[in-house]
Amino acid sequence: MTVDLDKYAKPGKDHYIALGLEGSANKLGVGVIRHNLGQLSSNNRAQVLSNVRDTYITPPGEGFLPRDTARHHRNWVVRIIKRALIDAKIKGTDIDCICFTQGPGMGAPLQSVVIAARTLAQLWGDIPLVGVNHCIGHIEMGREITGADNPVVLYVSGGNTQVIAYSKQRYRIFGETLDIAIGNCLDRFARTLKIPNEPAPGYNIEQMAKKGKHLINLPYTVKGMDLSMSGILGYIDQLAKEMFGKQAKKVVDETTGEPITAEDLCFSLQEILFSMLVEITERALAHVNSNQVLIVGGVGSNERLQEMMKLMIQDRKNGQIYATDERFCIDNGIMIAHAGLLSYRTGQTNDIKDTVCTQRFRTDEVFIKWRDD
Amino acid sequence: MGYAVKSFAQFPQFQVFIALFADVRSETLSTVKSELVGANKQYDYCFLNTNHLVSVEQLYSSIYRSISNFVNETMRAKTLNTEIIFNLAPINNIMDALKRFGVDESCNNVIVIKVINSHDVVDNTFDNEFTNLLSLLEVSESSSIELSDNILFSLVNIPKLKKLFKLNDANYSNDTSHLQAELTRLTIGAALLRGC
Amino acid sequence: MTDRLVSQIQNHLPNIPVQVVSQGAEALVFQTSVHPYIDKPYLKNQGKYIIKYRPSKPYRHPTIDASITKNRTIGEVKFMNKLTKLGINAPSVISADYNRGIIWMEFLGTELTNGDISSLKNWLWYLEKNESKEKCLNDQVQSVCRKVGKLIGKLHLNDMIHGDLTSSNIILEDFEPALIDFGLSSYSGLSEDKAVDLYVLERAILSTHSVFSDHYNQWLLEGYEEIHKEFSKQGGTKKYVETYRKLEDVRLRGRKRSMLG
Repeated sequence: MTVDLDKYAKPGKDHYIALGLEGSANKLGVGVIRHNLGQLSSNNRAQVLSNVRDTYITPPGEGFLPRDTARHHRNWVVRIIKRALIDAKIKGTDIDCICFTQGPGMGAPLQSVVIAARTLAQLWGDIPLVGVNHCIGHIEMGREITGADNPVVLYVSGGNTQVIAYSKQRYRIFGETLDIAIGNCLDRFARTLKIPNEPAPGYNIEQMAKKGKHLINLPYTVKGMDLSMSGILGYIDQLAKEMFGKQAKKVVDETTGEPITAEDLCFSLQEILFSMLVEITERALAHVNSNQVLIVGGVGSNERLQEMMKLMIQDRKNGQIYATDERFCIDNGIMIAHAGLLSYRTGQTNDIKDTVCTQRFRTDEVFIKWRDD
Repeated sequence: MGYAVKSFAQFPQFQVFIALFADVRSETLSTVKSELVGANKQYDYCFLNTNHLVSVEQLYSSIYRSISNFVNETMRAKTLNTEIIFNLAPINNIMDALKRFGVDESCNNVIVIKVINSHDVVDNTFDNEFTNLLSLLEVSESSSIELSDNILFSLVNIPKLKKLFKLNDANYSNDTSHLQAELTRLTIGAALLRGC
Repeated sequence: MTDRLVSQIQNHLPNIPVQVVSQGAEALVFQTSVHPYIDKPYLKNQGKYIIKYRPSKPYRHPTIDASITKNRTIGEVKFMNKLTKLGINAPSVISADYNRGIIWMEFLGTELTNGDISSLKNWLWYLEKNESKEKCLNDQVQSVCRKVGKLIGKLHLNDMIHGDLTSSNIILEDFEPALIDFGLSSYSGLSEDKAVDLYVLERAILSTHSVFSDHYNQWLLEGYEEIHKEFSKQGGTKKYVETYRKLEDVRLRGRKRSMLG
């Protein structure tokens, strides 16, 4: 890389510091990152000074609604920012830029957080604002943490399911969901089964799936490099309602005759959905002739998904898999700070009037000025 | 004319005895049929009529798949003889397949096939089979004819074959010299997709 | 790795010598000199055959794996058989083992002067590299491109979608094009799906044959239009207009629809 990243450093300083605010869904995250001058490399890693998060948890059987989630973010944003600054041992005036999630995500929560960002920028004396695409945040943080230089990225979260590869200064989408996102699919099934939302519905499904052993028959819906999940959810949801509703329908395994349990349903759902994800990832790898996979997004912390991806990558020459832990996989402020700071270092900032958030914001709309490979 | 012995590269452990007889009497065929139903060990062969056979390739395709299914234990029929008949058919019903491809009193041309384990083959194995068949089918050696594409094409009943394989709407070239080739491709395809 | 998969196929097909032709995400393609059951088959090439193998995927639950392998193999044979039946140039099926994901099929194509297989891609590359601009755009190239357009038109007129049209998935046999690789094929009467099919090819031509891509793409479309007009009575002209209009939409927005997050 030969892009000059040091043009915008404050005079006399040997580093940049950025604050990142994330609130596109039910997690409110604030992080502070530090880049020393020069190219980021294995000898010059970005430093996470703080990474604080608070999750809006709803009772079992309920999802998070935009209005309530926005209220949660408003209630907590000042406390979380203070905590992040204390953890990072910095003052507001040490900050080079304030980065915020501009989209995609839920409208009301996004707006509640950008208001905080604008306020701080003016409060601390005209600190530049940088709008960040949420997906780009995940990708750049994943690359920085794992050291994967040019991977195919599987981005799997509550609101997104995409297979992405970099080409000519854009992260291009090779495959994606045609309807609902993987996390959304798992969350909604968790609601049907009334599985707790604490710590996360997907996490609880994963734990139950570990105890499942019978596979029920579910549709498999990969379409080229895209996939569709709403039909699968509809099918298994219906089955679960019949099994655990008033009917109390008994379903048995076809070969053993043993009864099908809620654990078996979770197991089956994961097996089918993850098979589809791994397949489209493998297609993208073959397509762009790559052998690195980076998994990002909340669902990326699922161990079974990681295991399946490993099994796939083993069959490819020099295959490598990269994944991050829950601190970086699950939505957080630090990734917004990191991606935003990269953007800032190439001179990209947003005037106040251009800080409007957008629910739709495709990954491939962002011009990746900080890479030129 | 005698018989042919065929083997497949993939399955050297088997040798396939194949013979074609013309002018077999209907009464004899009736007997063969009932002996087959009675599972008489003497009649342990696959008997085929020639109405729906357009080429040697079509026939071999079925034998190959049947041996493959036998080796992989994925046969649908009880015996390899019936499996060969079943794999010729475009219909997913064994009784129906037997009716179309098996012994038929109204068709006096009969193809006989037997798959023999290579270990069991001795010098006169195939000659013995041939002699046995002459007596079972009550024919003389002169009614045995060479199994070739030319012969099969002269014996096949094309309208019946097209109807059975649902090939009336297929696209055929204007040059009729390609018909045997085209029907070979189409019958093999239809049999492969039986029940799919 | 590949070695493991090659030894798998050799296990499935003992005594059949195989050579890897290509490896995709889903399947391996082999070439062999041995026909499974006859020496002189009714095929364009004798002594050369293709084996397509969908290996089992260790990451999938065995039940899911078996069912996907089987369904896809059947689907591909079905699609190819339908093409044979319709007289649309494509390899004929020789045999198949659905449970093991194996399809034996006809080998199509010849060797170019430089030894490469006569795919549209290799042929155009050969011309682009060795010949003058005039030769690259001569009547023969134009005629082949139009024939390719007609071939795809025929496919679409029968509501069949290839799903992965590229210049390497078109093989020339005596300058008559044939389609290969139906791993992503599907059936659809929607002009949207047909337009995306065409768009994928247009992009592939643009990226692999950028210098003359405008000419190639124009001729392809002309052939595509021509065959639709030949079937005007069956609504061909109307279908062409609809698909072309969609193609213009797809060009503007790219293959992907704009969607929420």
